[in-house]
Amino acid sequence: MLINSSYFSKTTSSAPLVIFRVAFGLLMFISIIRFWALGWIDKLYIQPHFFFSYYGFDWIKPLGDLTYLLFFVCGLSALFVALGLKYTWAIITFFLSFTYIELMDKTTYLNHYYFVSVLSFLLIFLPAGNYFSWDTFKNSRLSFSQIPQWNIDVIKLLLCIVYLYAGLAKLNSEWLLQGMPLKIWLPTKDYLPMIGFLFRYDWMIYLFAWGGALYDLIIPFLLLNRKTRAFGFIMVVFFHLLTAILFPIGMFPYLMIFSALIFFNYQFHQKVIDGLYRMLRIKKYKGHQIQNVPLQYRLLNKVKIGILALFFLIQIGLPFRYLLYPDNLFWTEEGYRWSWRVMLMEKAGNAQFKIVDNSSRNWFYVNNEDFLTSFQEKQMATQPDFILQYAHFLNEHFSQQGMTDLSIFVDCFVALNGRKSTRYIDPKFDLTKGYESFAHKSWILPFNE
Amino acid sequence: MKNNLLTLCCFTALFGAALFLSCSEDDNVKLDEGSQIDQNDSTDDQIDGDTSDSVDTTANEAVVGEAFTRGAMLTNWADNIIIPSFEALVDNMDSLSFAANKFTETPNQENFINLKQSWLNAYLTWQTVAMFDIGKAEEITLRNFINVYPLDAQGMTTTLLAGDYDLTSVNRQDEQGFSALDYLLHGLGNSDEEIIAFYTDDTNGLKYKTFLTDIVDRMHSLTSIVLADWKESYRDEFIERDGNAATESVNSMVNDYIYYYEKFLRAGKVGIPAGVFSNSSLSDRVEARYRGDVSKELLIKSLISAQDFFNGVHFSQEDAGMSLKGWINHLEASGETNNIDSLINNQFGLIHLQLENLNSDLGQQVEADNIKMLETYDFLQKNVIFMKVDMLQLLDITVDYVDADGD
Repeated sequence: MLINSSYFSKTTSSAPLVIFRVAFGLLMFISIIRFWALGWIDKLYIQPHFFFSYYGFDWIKPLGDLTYLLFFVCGLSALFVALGLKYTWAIITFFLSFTYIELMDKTTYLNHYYFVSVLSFLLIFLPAGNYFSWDTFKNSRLSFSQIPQWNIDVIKLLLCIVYLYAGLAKLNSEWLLQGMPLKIWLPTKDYLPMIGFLFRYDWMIYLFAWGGALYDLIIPFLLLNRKTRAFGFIMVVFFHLLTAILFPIGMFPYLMIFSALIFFNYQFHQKVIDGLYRMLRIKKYKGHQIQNVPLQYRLLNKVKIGILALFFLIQIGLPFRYLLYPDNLFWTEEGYRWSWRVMLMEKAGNAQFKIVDNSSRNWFYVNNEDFLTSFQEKQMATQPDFILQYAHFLNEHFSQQGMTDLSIFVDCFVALNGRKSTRYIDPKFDLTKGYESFAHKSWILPFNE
Repeated sequence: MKNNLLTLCCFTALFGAALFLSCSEDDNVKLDEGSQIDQNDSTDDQIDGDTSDSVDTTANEAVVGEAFTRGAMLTNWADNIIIPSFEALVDNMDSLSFAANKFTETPNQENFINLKQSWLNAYLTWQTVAMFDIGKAEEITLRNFINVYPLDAQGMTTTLLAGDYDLTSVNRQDEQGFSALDYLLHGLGNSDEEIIAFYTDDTNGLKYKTFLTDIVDRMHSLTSIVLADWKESYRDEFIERDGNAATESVNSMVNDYIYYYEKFLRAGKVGIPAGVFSNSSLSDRVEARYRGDVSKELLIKSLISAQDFFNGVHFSQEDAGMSLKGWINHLEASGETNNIDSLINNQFGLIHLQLENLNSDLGQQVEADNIKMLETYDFLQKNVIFMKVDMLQLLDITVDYVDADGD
């Protein structure tokens, strides 16, 4: 079956996709350099003795000193993406290396990193290297100034999904009615110049909470509509720069600001490209039109559309998987990740593990500092899958020391969004008897409002 | 034409701004790093002790009505708690130095008893400053040179007899400080006469005397350096850094405070001797093990100091100023309240009650009835949760500030 509906045969200028590619590549390149320069490779991936794996990905581990090479490859491929140098290979390499890095330790999970992985996966299927790129400067026959309309629209779709789901996730009583967790975070920013004093007022917190939710929900429409686009973009810049000032969220705001440029019409992007041409003194090629592509290209197109359709189905469905789990999502965090739930909760915990040697009945507590970095310990103490994995690691560790018949219990207390700390995990449950799965973890104590 | 250029300019300006912003933010982050990494990973085997000697004041009502500012809190900490505590410690060090000199000149029983008393006085006052591992104290790792225990008694004796030693070496941290003095004053023999004999011995007496004065001098000079730095410059710097960012004084001090409570008070003084981190109890890991009967007193001093700091109680006085309690009250005044300050103070109260059940020699307590020690540990642990989980969440302070991006 040929995909020949009128939508999929529509074409448009490739300029927006090209600008997107350049901006994305450069930002990722800078991100990697920044990560490296801050010493985070060493701190997060070399120093720890133990790494928390994602379920099913425990074969992905940091590579010792070769981890630096991994980051080097990742950074270089990002630069290649920006330049459009061997674009397809570059973006595949980037996707694989970046995703590998993210899978090495779930301690560092951030929605932003997930966004980068997802976006780079999407870019693999888009002809972003076929215009204004190193490849096309070398071989002008590769250059197309027109590409299918859907190539641009899928990026817009992904951005809309991110914003809308982030907005939907904020529609809960904690965020809207309690003003949590902003009520915890914002008042401590009162030392900031100019705007700091505002955070001393309660109404300001609610303005931020409601404003933030509203922003996420309407920004896709403001950007999609030609008439409101300019205003929408100003909002994007304002909102993300504000979050950059208020929270330690690294490069993400800039990524979102540049990503939003994709909504502008192609004339804007073409002007930017023309300007770059002049600035870089590159001779301009008239790109080929895409209309008369041979059949196999259309077949490939069909496959791509099929894959991306599946991809978007997953993107749309995945955030709702939490409905399959009992109890409070913020408390259990079952179905929490990969769902654009950004800045929704303040959670703190403390976990003390008790190792009981069943043969001698001796017991002792674990000094978490011996095995985990403070960052890992902080993340571990509030997330059941971390607690379980760590307990299994401890079991293995002490087994190797000759204690083969162990039971492991945890005394764990968690405070969520300003509530008083309460016991989190059933202290009678032997964690060595628990196994990771997609099923609900019955040993998480129920959330008490 | 002009339009095109303008677009390009906007693009590059935006990109430039992005770069600039992301980089300048990094700078901040970087700064934090140095100041926050705990240099003090002396693990659980080697624990420093701590301090104290203020009057036993319980949770005073901290200045109701006074508006909370971080600056006021820092000023109270510096002027009314930290600096006076260090002043008292240096005073005690003067006396200790004097007593040590007197004893080495005339090693008789009277001078020996005076020296032992000076040691105990200074040791108790140490408990009031041990948690202030910030500024110069942090830089010179004061705690690691003043109160690491258990002592490597054998290593120390070898060092002492060899005579050629460098006390500034990291390898000598467990051969000096209060625990070394403890051994030199209480551990060499079973009676005063037996111990004094080491100092009057024809062959090695001089070496013992020299080593004794050397380690007292070192403790004296290290604590004096820290006090001088507070008075000369660090006080102002400490108070000026009154923001809430991870690099600032409040954040560092609170982290240091909790770290001290968790690692040195809860684990070092109680948990490790009770064997909560090992397969069996370790009664020889108590603080001042050679003297024995003061380990509980040192623990109580340390506990009172920790509670006083929480409540902002001025050193060795009844009055209180702005501190964590006041800050908590300030924050809880505007929202639903968990009364975290009462939770913590009540828990301190329960710990004190529990301590009444313990032998004044914690080592003996471990040997005789370790269950009570284990219970004490659990009481202490409860406040780790109240402070580290509940309090830090309210104050929006990150535990052991982690330098990484968030969501």
